[in-house]
Amino acid sequence: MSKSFHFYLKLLFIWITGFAIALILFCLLCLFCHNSMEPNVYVPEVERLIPEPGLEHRHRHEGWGKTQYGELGVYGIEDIRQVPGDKVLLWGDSYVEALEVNDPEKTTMQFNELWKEKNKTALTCAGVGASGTHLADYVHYAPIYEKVIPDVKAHVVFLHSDMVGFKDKKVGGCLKYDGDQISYWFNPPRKHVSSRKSKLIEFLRFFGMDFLWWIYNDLRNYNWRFTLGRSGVTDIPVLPQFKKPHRMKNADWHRNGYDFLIKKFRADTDKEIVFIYAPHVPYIHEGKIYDQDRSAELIKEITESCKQHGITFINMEKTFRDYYLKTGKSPRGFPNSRPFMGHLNPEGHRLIAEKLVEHFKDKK
Amino acid sequence: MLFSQLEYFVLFVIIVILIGVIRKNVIQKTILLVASYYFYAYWDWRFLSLILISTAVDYFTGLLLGKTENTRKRKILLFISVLVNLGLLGVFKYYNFFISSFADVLTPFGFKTGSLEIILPIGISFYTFQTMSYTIDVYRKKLDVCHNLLDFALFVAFFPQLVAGPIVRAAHFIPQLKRPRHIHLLNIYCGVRIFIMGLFKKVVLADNLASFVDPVFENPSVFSGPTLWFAIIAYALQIYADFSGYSEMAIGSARILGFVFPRNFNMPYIAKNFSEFWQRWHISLSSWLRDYLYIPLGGNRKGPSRTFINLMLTMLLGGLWHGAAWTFIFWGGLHGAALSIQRVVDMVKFKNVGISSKFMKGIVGWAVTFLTVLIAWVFFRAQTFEKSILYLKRMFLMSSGISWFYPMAVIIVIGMFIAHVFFVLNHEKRLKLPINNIISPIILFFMLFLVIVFHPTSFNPFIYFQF
Repeated sequence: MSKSFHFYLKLLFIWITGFAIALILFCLLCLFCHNSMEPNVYVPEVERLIPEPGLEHRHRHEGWGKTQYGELGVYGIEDIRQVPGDKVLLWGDSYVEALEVNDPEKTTMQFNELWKEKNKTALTCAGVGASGTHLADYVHYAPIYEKVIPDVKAHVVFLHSDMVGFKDKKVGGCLKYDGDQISYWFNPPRKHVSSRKSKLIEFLRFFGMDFLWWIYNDLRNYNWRFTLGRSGVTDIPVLPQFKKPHRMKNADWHRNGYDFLIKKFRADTDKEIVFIYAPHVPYIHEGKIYDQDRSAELIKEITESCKQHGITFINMEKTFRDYYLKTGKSPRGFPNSRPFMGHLNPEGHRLIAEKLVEHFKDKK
Repeated sequence: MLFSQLEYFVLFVIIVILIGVIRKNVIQKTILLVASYYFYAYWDWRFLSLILISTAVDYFTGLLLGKTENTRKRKILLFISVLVNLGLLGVFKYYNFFISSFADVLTPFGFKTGSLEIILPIGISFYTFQTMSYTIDVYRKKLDVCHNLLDFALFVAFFPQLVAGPIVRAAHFIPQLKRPRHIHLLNIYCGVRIFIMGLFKKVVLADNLASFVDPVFENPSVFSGPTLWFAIIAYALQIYADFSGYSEMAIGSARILGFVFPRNFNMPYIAKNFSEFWQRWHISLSSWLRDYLYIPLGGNRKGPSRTFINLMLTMLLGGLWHGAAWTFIFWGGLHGAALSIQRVVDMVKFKNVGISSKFMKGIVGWAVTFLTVLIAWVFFRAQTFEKSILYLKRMFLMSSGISWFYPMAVIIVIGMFIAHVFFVLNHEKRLKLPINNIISPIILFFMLFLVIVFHPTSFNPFIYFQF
C-alpha cells in the first residue's frame, strides 16, 4: 500500500478516535450540566400522557433541580393512591411541575412538611402540574382524578401573571366564541406512545446522551428558509424566520373565558376549590423595580367570579411584596436566569406553601 | 444569512463541492459571485442594488483612473468614487442621525426636519470602505487597475467578508483570483479549525455572556456596583468574542475555498498601551483608518499639535463609523484622547515614575489601558449618555442594588482570563492543533458539541451587523 494511503488511514483513525473521546467527555459533562429527557407513557385511568413513573429528571437550563416522577403524573410522591389520609390536589403548569427546584423545595413537599409540623391530622398535597397546561385542562382532569385518587378533599389551582389566553391546543381544553356563546371541548392526547421512541430515549438516557434528543427536537422545529428576504424598518436586521407574531386576545375574552371555566369547574366537582394567584411582583421594568401587579384589573374580575361561585381566591401580591420589601429578593428567579423573572425559586414555593397551610388549617 | 445558521452550512457545502468539481477559474468565480449575491439577498434582495452601484462606480472609476495621468481629472474621479460611497453611507446610515441631531438648531430658523423610514443595509459600512480603498490605492498608483469586472465584483461582494468584514484590501484579494481554486485537504482542515473556533467564540462565549450583559445594561439603576463592574468586563469579552468569532468564521470559510485573509484580532486585551490595543483590535479597520485617514491628514509628521488633531479626528470618525449616535462618536473620542495622552507620555518619557521594573511597568500599562477601554465600552454599549453616566456613577460609587453573577458568565470570564494569561506566558504562541495530533479532533469536536448543545435559546445577531 502507498505511503499516502497509510497517512490517510492513520488520519482517519486519529479523527474517529478523537471524535469518540470528545463524545465521551461531552456525555460526562451533560450528565452534570444538561437537562435529561424522559419517555412518556399513556395512563388510561387518568387519560393522560405522563413522564414514565420511577424516573428522575435533571433540570439545568433554569435553576438546578432533580424531580422524581411518580404515578399519575404526580411529582415527588411514588404513588399518591397509596398515601393514607386526605388529599389536596394542586393543579398548575410548569410552576407546579417546578422542575427548576429539587422535590423537597417544591410547593407541595414544603406544604406537606409544614403541615406535619403544625397539625396532627393527615393531609397530603400532591402536585399535578404539566408545562403549558391551563385552567381549561384542569376542569377536565379534576373530576377524573377524584375518581382515581381516594380522599381528595380539595382542588387548588395555581395561577400566575404569565398565563396566556385560551388558545386552541392540539391536546387539552379549548375555548371558542360561538356568536355570544362560549363553547368548550377537550382534545385528548394520543393513547399510543411509540415503543421505538421510548426505547431510543431510554438508550440515550443510559449513556448520558439525552442531549441528542434535544438536538433532534430543535432540528424538527427549525424553520428552514432558502427564499430571498425582505427586511422591515429596523436598526438591527432580524432574520424573518425568527420573528414570531405575538397575538393576545382582548380583556373581554379573558374575563368571559375565566367566568365560563369557573362555572364549569364548580358544576363538575363538589370538592372545595381554591385558586391561588402568584403575580409577577416585584418586577423590573425600564430601570425600576415595581411591586404592583400589572394584571390587577383582570384579577379583580376573576376574584369576583370566584366569590360568586363559592371559590376561594388567594392573592399572593401582598405576601410577595412584603417579602421583597423585607429581604430585597424576589420569589422568582435563579442565579442562572434573569433576576426577578422566570419560575418560583425555593423561597417562592415556601411562601405559597405557607399560605395554603394557613388556609387549610382554618378549614379544620 | 448568518454563519451560525444551518442554511449557511447547506449552502457552503454545495459551493465547496461545486468549486471542487469545476476547475475552470471563470466558472468558479461566477459561482462564488452568484453565491455571494444570494447570501446578501437572503437578508433583503432590494439592497443588492447598493452593492451593484458601489461595484459599478468604483470599477469604472478605476478603469478611468488607469487611462488618465491628468492630476485634476484623477482627483475628480476619486472625488466621484468617495462621494458615491460616502453618499450611500450618509443616506442609509446617517441621515436620520444628522437630522435629529441638528433639529434643535435648525427648527428655530424655520427649517422643518423630518426623518426617513430607512432600513440600514447590513454590511454597508464594510463594503463601501472596501471599495473606496481600491479607488484610493489606484489613485495613489499603489495598485494596478483591475480590468476584470468579475474579479472586481467578487472582491466587493465575496460572501465570507461581505457583511461584517474583515475589510480586505484589493491588493491582497484580487491577485488570489488569478488562479483557479483547488479544494485541498490542508486548506479544508485549517479553514474548518478556524471556523469552529470562531463559531465557539460567537455561540458559546459571546451569546451566553449576552444573556447576562443585556439585562444589566437595560436596567443599570437596579443592579449593584460589583454587578455593574462584572457586566462591563463581561461585555468587553462579549464584543471581543462576538466580533473576533465572526471574523474567524469569515476567515475560515474563505480558507476552505482557498483564500487567505489576514487576522482581524490579536488578543487586544493584553495590550499595554492604546497604540498596541489598536494594533490588535479590528486590525482591518484600524489599518484602514491609519492608511486612508490618519496618514493623509499628516499623521505624526506635522508636529505634536497637528498629530493630536489628526488622532482625534481619525478616532472620532472611527467612532462614527460604528454607529449613527453621539455615544459612538464619544467612544471614538475617548480612544482618541487616550492615544493623544499616550503620545504626551511617550514624548515626555516618564522614566522615573517610581516603577523601575519592566514587568511592573507592563502591569501598570495594561491596567490603565484595560480600565480606559472598559470605561469607553460603557458608552459604546449603553446607547444614551444618560445611561452611560448612570452606569459609570453606580459602578465607581459601588452603589447598592441587586447582586447578580450569572454562573455561565463567571465561568466564561474566568476561562477567557486564563486563556489570555496562558497566551502571554507562552510568548503569544497560539495553541497548535495539527491535523495528525489526536488532541485536535478532541478539542474541535468538543467545541462543536458545545456549540450545538449549549447555544442560548434566544436569537442573537452579530453585534457588528448593526454597523
